[in-house]
Amino acid sequence: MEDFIGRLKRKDEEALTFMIHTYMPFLKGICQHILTKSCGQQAAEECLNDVFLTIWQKAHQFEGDAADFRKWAGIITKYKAIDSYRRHIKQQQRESTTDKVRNDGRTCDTEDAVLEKESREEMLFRLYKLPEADRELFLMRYYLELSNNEIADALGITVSAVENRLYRGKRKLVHLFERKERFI
Amino acid sequence: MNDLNKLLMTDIEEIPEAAVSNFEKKEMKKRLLDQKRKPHWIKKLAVAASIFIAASATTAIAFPSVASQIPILQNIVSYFDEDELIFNHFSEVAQPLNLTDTSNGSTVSIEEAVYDGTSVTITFALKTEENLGEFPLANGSLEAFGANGSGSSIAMNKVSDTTYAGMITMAPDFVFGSPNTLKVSWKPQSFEDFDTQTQLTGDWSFDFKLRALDSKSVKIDENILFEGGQYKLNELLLTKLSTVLVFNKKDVNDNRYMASWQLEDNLGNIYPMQFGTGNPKKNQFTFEALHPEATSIIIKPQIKKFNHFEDEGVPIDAPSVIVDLD
Repeated sequence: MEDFIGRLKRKDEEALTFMIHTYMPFLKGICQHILTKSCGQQAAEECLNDVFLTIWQKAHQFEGDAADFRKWAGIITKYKAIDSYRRHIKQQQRESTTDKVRNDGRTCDTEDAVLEKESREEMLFRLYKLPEADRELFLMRYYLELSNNEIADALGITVSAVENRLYRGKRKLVHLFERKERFI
Repeated sequence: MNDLNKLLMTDIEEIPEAAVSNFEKKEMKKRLLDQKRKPHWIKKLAVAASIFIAASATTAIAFPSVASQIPILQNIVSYFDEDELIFNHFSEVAQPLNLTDTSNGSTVSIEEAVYDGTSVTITFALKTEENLGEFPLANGSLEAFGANGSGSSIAMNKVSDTTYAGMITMAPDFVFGSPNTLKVSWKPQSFEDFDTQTQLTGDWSFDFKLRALDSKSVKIDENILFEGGQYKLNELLLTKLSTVLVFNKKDVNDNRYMASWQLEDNLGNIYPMQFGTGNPKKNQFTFEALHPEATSIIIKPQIKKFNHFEDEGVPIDAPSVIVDLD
């Protein structure tokens, strides 16, 4: 489709049809791979719905071509699915203890928690500005909120390597934002 | 944490794609297009809460038993985000009404309204102890005198535990052409939480008159011919609120061909259609108000042909029309 990205950003319905047709198998595959066996079909479906909703609502923030879009959509899906996986696992663990205090696992009740969730979502969309190699690192740290130790363990690198890359990445992000603001 | 590490290290390009049926794709598209409301109310909660608290404190002291003369909510338009607001310039042109009615312990108040000659939009607030959820529905439409039915769209957002902001846009099907002064009445009858089926009923009743906004008519008098028939474009009606395209269809089979319309001005701004009304004789499609510095408009129909009811629709070529604004 010509100018798919432009049209998607303008909320063109045909671009929406095209996007769903082209990317749903890819994104559904990711959700199912991460969530179906561990958390069930419904969790996978909810995650996919959430991903598409987020992309559709935030498309106007995206900059890049169709190839970038595919990677962007794929990464968002992977991390939203992992986030969902972790929440489900935590909830299962909570339910299996005999704790008398009822906690339904939702952290969205307080205003603070909701605002925090919103800024985490925003972060999800700014990070694509980073070079590819750093994107997942940032998502692990700032979206999933893993510790530097957990990240080092997952990636098989040292904690100081994680810290270095985060530091350099943050400087790049700030730099990118400053440049953008000057042109407005 | 081994499972988590495995997931983190997954290369998404190596995951096999999943099978997706046409039905699933349609459902997804429908789900996304139905999303008109987003829970942005939470951002405004902090501000809204403080206004509400101040207002209710004064109410308790000064007016204990009378429907408060202090408005339930002010600047109601600010509780709706860009996607819900049909008209960006609503606040600038709306007439303040400040009509209040109480029934069944709950108060409804219309803040302001506007009529552009084609449609009516009002903002209102509801104060009630009933919990109607984040996005209640209002039943009972706006009625315009001299109209043979209408289409309308309603958005309601919860602002606090006892306050809801609402906006209604209604486009009447006028029998004798659109009047300069329009009599409107509104009897909401009930508000409900669609999810829990909680319903609040009442006898609220409002009657008011609205003056049409000044409008400029730009004659078009051009035809768009395509394989399925003809659209005869009559005129554009420009007001500070909106742009309305008035046209007739000739010989077009509505089950076969569906058109969506878009305007583009010479500055590169694009105006998608907000809503449309019509009868077999005349159609009116409403768009956002034009940029004040635009000097010409391209009217683009995007027509789709449906061979069968269930189809996605195949785009059909149709010419655009360029209109110069004086």
